[in-house]
Amino acid sequence: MPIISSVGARSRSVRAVYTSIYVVLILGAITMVYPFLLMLSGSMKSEADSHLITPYPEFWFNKDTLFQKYCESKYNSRLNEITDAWNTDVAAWWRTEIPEPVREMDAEDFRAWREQSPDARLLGVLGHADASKMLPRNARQYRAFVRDRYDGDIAAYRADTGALSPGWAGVIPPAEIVGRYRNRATRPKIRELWSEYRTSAPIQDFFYPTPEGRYRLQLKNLPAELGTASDLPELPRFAPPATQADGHAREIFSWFIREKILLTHVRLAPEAESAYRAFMQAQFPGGIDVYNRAHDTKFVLWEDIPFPRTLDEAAYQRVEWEAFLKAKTPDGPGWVCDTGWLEVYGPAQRFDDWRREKLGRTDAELKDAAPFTAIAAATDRADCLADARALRREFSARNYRHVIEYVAAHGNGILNTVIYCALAVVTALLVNPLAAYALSRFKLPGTYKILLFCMATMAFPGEVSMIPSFLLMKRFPLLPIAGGVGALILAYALLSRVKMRDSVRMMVSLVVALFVGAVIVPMILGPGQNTVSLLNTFAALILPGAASGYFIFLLKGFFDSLPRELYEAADLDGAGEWTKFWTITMTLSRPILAVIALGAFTGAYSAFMMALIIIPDESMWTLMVWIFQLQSYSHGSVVYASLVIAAIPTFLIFAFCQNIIIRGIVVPTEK
Amino acid sequence: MAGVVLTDVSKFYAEGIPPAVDKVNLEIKDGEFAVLVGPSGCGKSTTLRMIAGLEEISDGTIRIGDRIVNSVPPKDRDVAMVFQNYALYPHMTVYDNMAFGLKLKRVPKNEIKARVMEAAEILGITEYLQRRPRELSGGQRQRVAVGRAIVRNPKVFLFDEPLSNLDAKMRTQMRAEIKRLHHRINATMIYVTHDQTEAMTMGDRIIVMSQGHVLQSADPMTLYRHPNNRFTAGFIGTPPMNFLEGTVSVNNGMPFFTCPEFKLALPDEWLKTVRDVVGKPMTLGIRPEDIAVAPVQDSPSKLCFEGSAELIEPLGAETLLHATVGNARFIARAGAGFRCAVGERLRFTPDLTQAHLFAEDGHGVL
Repeated sequence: MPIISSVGARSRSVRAVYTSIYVVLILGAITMVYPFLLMLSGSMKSEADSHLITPYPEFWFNKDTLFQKYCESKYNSRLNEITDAWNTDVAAWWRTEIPEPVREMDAEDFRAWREQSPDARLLGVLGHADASKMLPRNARQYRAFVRDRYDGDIAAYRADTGALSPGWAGVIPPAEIVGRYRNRATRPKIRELWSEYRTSAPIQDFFYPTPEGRYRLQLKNLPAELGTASDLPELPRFAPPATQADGHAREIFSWFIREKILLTHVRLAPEAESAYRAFMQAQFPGGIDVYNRAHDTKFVLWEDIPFPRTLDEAAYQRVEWEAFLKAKTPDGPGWVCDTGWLEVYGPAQRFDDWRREKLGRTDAELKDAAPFTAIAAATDRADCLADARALRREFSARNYRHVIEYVAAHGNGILNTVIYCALAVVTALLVNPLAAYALSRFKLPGTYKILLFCMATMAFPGEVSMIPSFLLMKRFPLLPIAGGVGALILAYALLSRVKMRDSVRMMVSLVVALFVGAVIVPMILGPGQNTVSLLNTFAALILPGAASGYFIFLLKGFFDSLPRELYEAADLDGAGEWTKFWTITMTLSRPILAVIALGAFTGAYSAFMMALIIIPDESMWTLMVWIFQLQSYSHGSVVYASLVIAAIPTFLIFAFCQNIIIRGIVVPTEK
Repeated sequence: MAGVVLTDVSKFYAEGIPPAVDKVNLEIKDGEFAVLVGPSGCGKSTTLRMIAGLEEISDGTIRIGDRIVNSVPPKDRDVAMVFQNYALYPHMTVYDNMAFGLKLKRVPKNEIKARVMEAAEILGITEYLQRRPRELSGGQRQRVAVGRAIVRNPKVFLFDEPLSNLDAKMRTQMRAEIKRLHHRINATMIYVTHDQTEAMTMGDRIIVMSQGHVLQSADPMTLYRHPNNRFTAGFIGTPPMNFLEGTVSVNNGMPFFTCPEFKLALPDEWLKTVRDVVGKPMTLGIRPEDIAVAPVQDSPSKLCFEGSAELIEPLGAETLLHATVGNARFIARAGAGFRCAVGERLRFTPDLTQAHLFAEDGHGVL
């Protein structure tokens, strides 16, 4: 019967009731949908926009937010990189200011430079490649590139490169700059792969850390003996003369070049050659053979070794080169490499030289040119706007791709989850109905108490039983249980030849079983020998949750509602207990069994803590444990994406099963 | 085929409450159609279920054929039962419902088919064999339930109020069908109902039960004409027998029945019987068709009494006249053309040769 009678449904008061019910329902729906939307939009966010609590991703509609995300991704989520490249302070990605446009000529020259000059790729750092918390485009494509190269054979990759990564998920771009160097620390084969990938990456993805930006940053941390530098000008290309009024400028310049600048951003004057050679020979008193061994070279005379003005020319000399820069003369406070020989030769200087040489720009044309860093920033903005659609797509899908790749990379996790869920469902569908059937069909003494006990298990949160379950599974008394069950069957079979009441027979058999299981078997096996560890097996995952008080209670209620006459008819038809259970009860209980199956599935699917505790072996981990691993180092938005993806199977199963569940209880024996 | 014999069968559910069935003795012959009839809670269904083996017997013995079946499980008793709510397996087709028991007995498939088809033929449900019970009407479902019993070819058929869930028309139709079925297969059938019309029309023998006891067991007409107790007399027949409270006296060697309102001369041949009960409170039972109705006349008679019409029910073929005499109410059956006004005084002449006299404890004196 409906709550509101259909008679009189048109009266004003009833309509008001209907309206308010609908309003409440709609509000309820919104309170469900809104958090879901937050989750969806959250799954597309990153550090740059995670502070925006909107039910949709702000960057879909806001170009500035899109740009901030672009910068975050391009500058590999490192604020010091963007500070270096733009020569402006950026405190947080969401506070990245929109750069001012620059002269058209400057922008064009910059684009020409980066397309044409080999320096552009050499000095640039590839962005969109930071895989520490997310998996941006270049990190993803690099992985795919490496994977293709080795035909998906991770073992071949490991053998070839010497990398230790257990799976493709561990293949990430190497850091390009380590300290003052272009990264030389990575394994050579990986470096080779990376540099090969780099050459095919779009040039817009490269950014340029500049000495100017680094200088700005380093001035804030000047060593005490150099004083303060609050009023120092921009970094000069050459050392300021010693006679300059403030006196410090030359020392600061010298300190910055020798201690802080990226070594690829330095060029030595040709005059330094003889000092360099002398220094080298002093470094290798053992002669040129020692040098050759150290550098894997085959020079005969010291004079054969080239003198590199920049490290680009002979990268293998970086150690001596840096030592040369830092070396003091043995007899005094002076430098082996004179400060006057040092030249800042970063992207800005090279760009400047290049546009004069290749494009024939004159001093007059360049007089009002914007600084390189400003041009780079403005170009970033232009690149972002030109590519906005693709970027939106990329940012929307990035975290999902990451999670899907991650999950796919741990295929055994999927397989384990499928097996675990299937076993859990099958067990729940067998154990619980059997127990409920016994309670429902046989009027046992104390049925009510047993039910109460079942209900009482619901009062305790699952976490309470975790440690006991773990201990039980770790030392599972398999043999005593098997012995007890065997004794039960044997005793019952033997006693059935003796004339006595069934209940007495069962009680006696139980006592025998308990005695055998708890006393005799442990005694035979000896102390400490009667348990086996079930850890790292599916049994350990399934056994603790095989019987559920709630399910038994639910099923008993349902079984009680099945008409008694069906069982009587079956009795007369000659059906045994199993036929009555399986053919009649189970078949007629499909709706409730669907509910149980769904519950068991979601329980097993989402069980992560138990799975983590009980399964120390990685190869047996379930999806949820893997996702937990992913979440432990990923950005929050990746966590959101992983949760959304993890919810899909449950959602699909519910959508698929809801028909069965909602169809309700079909017992068409009613009149 | 076999007869069923119940000897001192009792059923106790718990200490302290009266037994549901109390020392019932019954003998149902092979091929007989016996109807257990009685009001709700009289123990008729329990008796049937004990025969089927669905209830344990607390005391006594039940024999089916030559075998004592007290502790034989239902499936081995070779009985089939038709339930009030049909108890068809909802998830099986009609065919599977009927074949289920045979399948469990591992009867060969072609034989199962032959038997199901035959039963379906008898019951006219051949075209529904592939349907599920929920797609059938009540009457069709009941046919299937009967069919399920037939295919097993049991010694005894048990029917537990099988027609209660049907509408009146369908009930009449099914009643006849079951009766025809009985003639056709000539099996022992035990039929439980609370509807005395069903009992009268169907049974070879009717067993009237009340409060766990068998009150009378006889063929329908004997039961109707010669009820040996007041309960049976009142239970069998529509409209029921009229009961008038009074005492018996003997005047001048003539027996009389005396009420506060009138005095009736009883047939002379009753004299010998009623002499023992003179002065005791008695009930005179007389069926409505045994009371003749006439307009009031001047000449008084000891063979009739006067009463007033209270309600007139014309049924077409006859008219039922509800009347009062003093505080007593009774019903008389008049002809189709009978007319009178409510409140009109009428003369009622009972045919006392068809009357019954019951003692205070309900036992029949005559």
